[in-house]
Amino acid sequence: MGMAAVALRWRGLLILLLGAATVAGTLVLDTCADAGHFATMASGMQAPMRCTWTERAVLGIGGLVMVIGLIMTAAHQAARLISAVAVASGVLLLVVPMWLIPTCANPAMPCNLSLKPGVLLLGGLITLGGLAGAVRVRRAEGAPELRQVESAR
Amino acid sequence: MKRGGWPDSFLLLVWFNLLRRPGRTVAVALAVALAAGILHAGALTGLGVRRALAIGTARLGADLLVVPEGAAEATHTALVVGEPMAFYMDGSVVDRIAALPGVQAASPQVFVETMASSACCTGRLFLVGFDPETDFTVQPWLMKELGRPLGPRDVLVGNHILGLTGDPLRFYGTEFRIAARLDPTGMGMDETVFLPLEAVAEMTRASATLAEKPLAIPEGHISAVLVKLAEPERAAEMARLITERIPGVAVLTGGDVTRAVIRSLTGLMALLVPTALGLAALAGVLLALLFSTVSAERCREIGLLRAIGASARQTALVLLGEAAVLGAAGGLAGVAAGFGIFGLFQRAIRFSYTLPFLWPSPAVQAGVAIAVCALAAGLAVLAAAVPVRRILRLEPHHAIHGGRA
Repeated sequence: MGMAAVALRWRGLLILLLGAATVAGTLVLDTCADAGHFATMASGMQAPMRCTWTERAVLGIGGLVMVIGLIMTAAHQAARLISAVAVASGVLLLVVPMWLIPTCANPAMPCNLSLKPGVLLLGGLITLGGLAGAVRVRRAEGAPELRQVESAR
Repeated sequence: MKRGGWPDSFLLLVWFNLLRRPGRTVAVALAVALAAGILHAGALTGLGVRRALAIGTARLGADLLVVPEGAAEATHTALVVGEPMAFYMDGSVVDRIAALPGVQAASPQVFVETMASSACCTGRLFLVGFDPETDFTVQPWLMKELGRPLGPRDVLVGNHILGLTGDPLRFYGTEFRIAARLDPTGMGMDETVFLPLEAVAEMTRASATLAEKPLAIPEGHISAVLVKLAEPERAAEMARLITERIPGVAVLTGGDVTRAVIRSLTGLMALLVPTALGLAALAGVLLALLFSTVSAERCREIGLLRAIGASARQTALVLLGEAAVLGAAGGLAGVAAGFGIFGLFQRAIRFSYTLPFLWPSPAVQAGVAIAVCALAAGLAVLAAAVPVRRILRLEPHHAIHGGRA
């Protein structure tokens, strides 16, 4: 197995694990459920709390990251592109709880104590993993060319 | 520094030696980083809790806090992390306490928690009504910083409450305005909204028609009495006297709060310290193994270096330099990771262990980070010293023959 394939397989497994951690952490901890998922409005109506939607978006992105990890592990043809998609998914995970679907306003709510910091941590790791994958693949792709130059000499 | 001189060549040699086996180097650096990260987070926690405790208890300004019997624990949680709570006792307690010998001042407070149903969206806030006539904690700060007492619709907010000065805040249907913001204390005060007792009474009356659920505070009832003593060192004795003379109350002293916080901190440290020590030991073993292997692998090279004139000291410097660079790099990575992860989860840790927390000053944080990196580098040098010493004891020609005579 070539260097590029080994590099890709490891990074693919890492991304797959991080995606699985995102999905499992969200499902198992389910921090929004601790707070009852619903808030009672002034009218007496019950409405889902913001973190319910944050949680669902995180679940979806976590699943997507798992698929990206699987593709990275199995298919090496579009390695750099897949790494870039992993970076984009990591960034998406970072922006979801912060700007796109912010968690609840009260900083003491369970979503702000565990869901948000956990997602930010995993999002950061997925972004770094994707970046490392892209850089490594570029180097690994460059290596045969270098070898050709060496042999031509 | 002259480029290409001794320090440059030395660092380059160390760097290239470490890059010979990048996987192994990264694995050892990661082990050091784990131990350094936990050590750094633990040090930040300890220093932050101490700072918050010192500033928070000084800002509280009271020697004793008298609350209804059975409410001491909830009061402690509210004082430390600002968890809202409400309980009431008869208001006559203030006069009875003020009449006791040794009491310099006694001021009532009324606690109100905002509606739990809107907790997620507006934040479940802890409102504290104080008496401007007798208060000795908030009022002096107000007169000094704001230069005027609070108006009937003004509130003073803790440092973590969202909103700017002048912004409206609506509680139980009554709209208030943020008049000023308190400096951070790292304690529950940061999550608290202060307003005059008169405003609490008006809000209670108006809640019957304006609020989704009316606020019910029994007439003439209060939640707590802040007590200032003529001789603060007699706090424990006065606490006993108050509980003997006034039935149905509990007394919290500054010492009680400090002791409870130290107990919680000890619980957290009991988890962190053995983990950090275990990881440091593991990192030390890994470093010793790494340098044993490196010494064996590079035995001939070291022998050649010695044979062409390098002194034992110079050779040792290169090998120990590798260990120091590896330790410092692992330490630096650990400090960065520890800082980031602790920063993300510090609120969860605070709430789980009921701990106050105020970030140490940047100078102290930098000092801790440098100390952790230096410790990691020192540990790495110590772990590498034994195998390096063994290889340097060999005669150059023995070393060239792979350590065989």
